[in-house]
Amino acid sequence: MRISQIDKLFSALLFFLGLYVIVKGMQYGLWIRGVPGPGFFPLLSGLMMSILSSVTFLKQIRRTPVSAVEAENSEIKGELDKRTLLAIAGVIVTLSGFILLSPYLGMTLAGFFLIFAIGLLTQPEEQKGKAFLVKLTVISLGTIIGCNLLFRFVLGVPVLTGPFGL
Amino acid sequence: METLSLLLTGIYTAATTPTLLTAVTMGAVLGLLVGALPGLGPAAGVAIMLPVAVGFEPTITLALLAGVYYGAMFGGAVTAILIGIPGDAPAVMTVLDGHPLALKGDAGRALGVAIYSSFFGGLAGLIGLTLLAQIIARYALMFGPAEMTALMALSLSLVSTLGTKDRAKSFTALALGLWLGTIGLDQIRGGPRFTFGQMELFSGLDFAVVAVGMFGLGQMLQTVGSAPTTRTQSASYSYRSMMPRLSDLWICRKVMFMGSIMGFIIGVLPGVGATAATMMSYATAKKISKNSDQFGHGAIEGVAAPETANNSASYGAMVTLFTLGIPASATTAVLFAGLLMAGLQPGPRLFQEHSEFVWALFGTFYVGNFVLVFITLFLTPVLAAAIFVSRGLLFSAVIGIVVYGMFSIDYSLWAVVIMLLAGILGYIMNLLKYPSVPLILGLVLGPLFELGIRRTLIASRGDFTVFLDHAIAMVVFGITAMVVLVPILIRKCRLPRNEKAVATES
Repeated sequence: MRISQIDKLFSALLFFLGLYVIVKGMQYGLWIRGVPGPGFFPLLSGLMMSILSSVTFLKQIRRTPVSAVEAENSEIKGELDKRTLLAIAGVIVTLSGFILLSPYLGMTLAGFFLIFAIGLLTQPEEQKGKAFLVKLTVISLGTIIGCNLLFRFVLGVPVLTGPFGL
Repeated sequence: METLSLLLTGIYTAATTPTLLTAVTMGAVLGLLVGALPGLGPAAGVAIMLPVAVGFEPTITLALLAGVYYGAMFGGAVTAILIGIPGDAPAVMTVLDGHPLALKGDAGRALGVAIYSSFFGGLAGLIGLTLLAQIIARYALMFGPAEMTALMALSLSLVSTLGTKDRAKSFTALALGLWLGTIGLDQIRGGPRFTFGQMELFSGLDFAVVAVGMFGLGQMLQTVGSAPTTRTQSASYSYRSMMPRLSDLWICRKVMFMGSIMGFIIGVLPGVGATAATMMSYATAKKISKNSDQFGHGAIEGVAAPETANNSASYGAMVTLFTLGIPASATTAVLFAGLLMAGLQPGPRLFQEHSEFVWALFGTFYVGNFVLVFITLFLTPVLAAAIFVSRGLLFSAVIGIVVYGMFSIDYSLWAVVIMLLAGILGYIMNLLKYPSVPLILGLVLGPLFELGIRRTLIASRGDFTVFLDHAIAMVVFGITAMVVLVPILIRKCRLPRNEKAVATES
C-alpha cells in the first residue's frame, strides 16, 4: 500500500474525528451561565483538527507543495511492503492475544508466549537459526522470571495468576 | 550563596546515600545502552523505565529516570564513532567527524574527546539549570492563572512551530493531543466527556501509558519495518588512548564553550530539541574553527561541538519543567509524568514545598554526570557490541518488561490496551511524518491549559479582555501570535517572489 494513500486516509479520518469532537462539544455545552462550558475546549481542538487535517488532505490530493524545501521534507514517499505489514500486524495481534488470555492463563504463561512470539516476529527472517531459538527461549524465561521477581515480589504488584498460581 | 549551600547539601546527599548512588548508576548504565542501541531514543528509554521506576521513592524514581536521559546522551556517541551508526538522533552529527577519525586509527582520541566534551557540556548545562531554576521559580511564583495560561499557549505553539517541517501536521498532532487530554471527567463541572461509557476512562488517559505506547511500542514497530543493523567497518581503540589529552582539550576549548551555551539555550526552548542543538553547534564550530576544511574528514572539534551541545541541551530542557511545570521536549514530558506519578507537581511551588527533593535530585545530576565519565570509559567495549544484539531478543525482553510495567500502574490490563492503541497511533504518525511531541505535550498541558482558561474566564465572568489586563500575559500572548503568524506571513511573501523567479527562468 502506498504511504501517500495512508496519509490521505489518515487525514480524512482526523477530519471526521474533528467533526465528531465539534458535535460532541456542542452537546456538552459551549457557554453555560456566561462562562465557558465543558464543550468549549473540545470545540476548539475539534475545529483545529478538522481544518488542519483538511489542509493536509488537500495538499496530498493536489500534490502542490508550497516550496521545494517543503516538497523535499514533507512529501510522503514509498510503500509499505507486505512483509513489514504482516510483522506489524503480528505484533499487534500477539499483544491483543496477551490481553485476552492473561485473565485465564495468568500473566506468567501469557507473558512467556508473548515474549517468545514477539521475538519470532521481529527477528529478520534470514537470522532465525536454531541458535536464535535457543537464545529466545532463554531470554523469554529469564525476562518472565525477572519481571515476576521485580514486580510481584519486590514491588508487590498483584499480577494476574492462572493455573498452578503462575 | 543560599543556592550554593543547598546545592552542596544536595550533592553530598546524592553522593553518600547508597540507594541514590545505585539509582544514578543504574540509570546511567541503562541510558548508555539505550543511547547506543539504534531504534531506542532517550524518550523511549525513559518511557519504558517509567513504570518500573515509579515503584520507588520519588528522589530515587527521578534520579533513575534522569540517569537514563543523560546516559543516553553520552551513549549515542560511542557507536557513532566506532561503527559509524548513531545510537540516537542527537549523535548523528558526531558520526561526521568521529567515524572518519576512528578509521584513521584515532578512535580512542575521538572517544576520549566525546566523553570529556559530554561531561563539560553536561556540567555547563547543570550550572545553567541550577542558576536559572532558582531565579525563574522565584519570579514564576508571582504568575497567576492568566500568565500561566499565556505561557502554556506559547509553549504549545513553539512546540508545534519550531523544529518541524510540516506545520499543518504539527498543529493537527497538537489538536489531537489537546482532544485526548479532554477525555475523562470535566475538571470543573464533573460530567464525563468522550468516555464512550467506559468507567476506566473517567479518570482520563494516563499520560505515562500513552508515552510508553507512542515512544516505546511505536518506535519498535517503526524499527520492525527497517533493515537490521549489519557489521560495518569498525575501529579499534585502547583504554589508554581514551585518556584526556590536554592538547585536544585546548584545541576544542572554544567550540566546547560555544556548544555548551548554544545547547543550553536551544534546550530551554520548547520543541527545538538536542538534535537541532547539535546541528547548530556543529555548523558554528565549522565557521569559527581554523581547521574548517577538516570538518567532515575527521576534525576533533567536529566531535566536541555536537557532544557538548547535546548534553548541555538535555539539562536546558529541564529548566521549564522544574520551574514552570512545562516540559520542553518528549523526554522531559515523560519525566513530567514521572514527577506526577511520584505525587509531585512540577512548577515553582516544587522549590518551596519540596526543596529537599529538588536539591537532592539536582545533586544526583552532578554526581551522575561525573560517574558517567568512568562508566562510559569502562563500558565502551560493551556499548560497541550492544548494537549487534539481535532485534528479536531485544524487543521481546523490552515488551515483557513494558507489559508488566503497564499493568503495575493501576493493576489492570486496560493500561496495556491503551498502550497498544497509542503504539499503533505512534507508528502511523511516525510513518506519515506527524511529529509526536506536540501530541504528547497537548495531552500533558491540555488539561492544565483548559483549566487555566476556564478558571480565568469564570473569575472574570466570561470577559476575554481579562487576559489583556495582565501585562506579562499580554506580552506572552503577543509573542505566541507572532510565533504562529510570522512564518505564515513570511511564506506568503516568499510565494509570489518564487513564482516570479520561476516565470523569469522559463
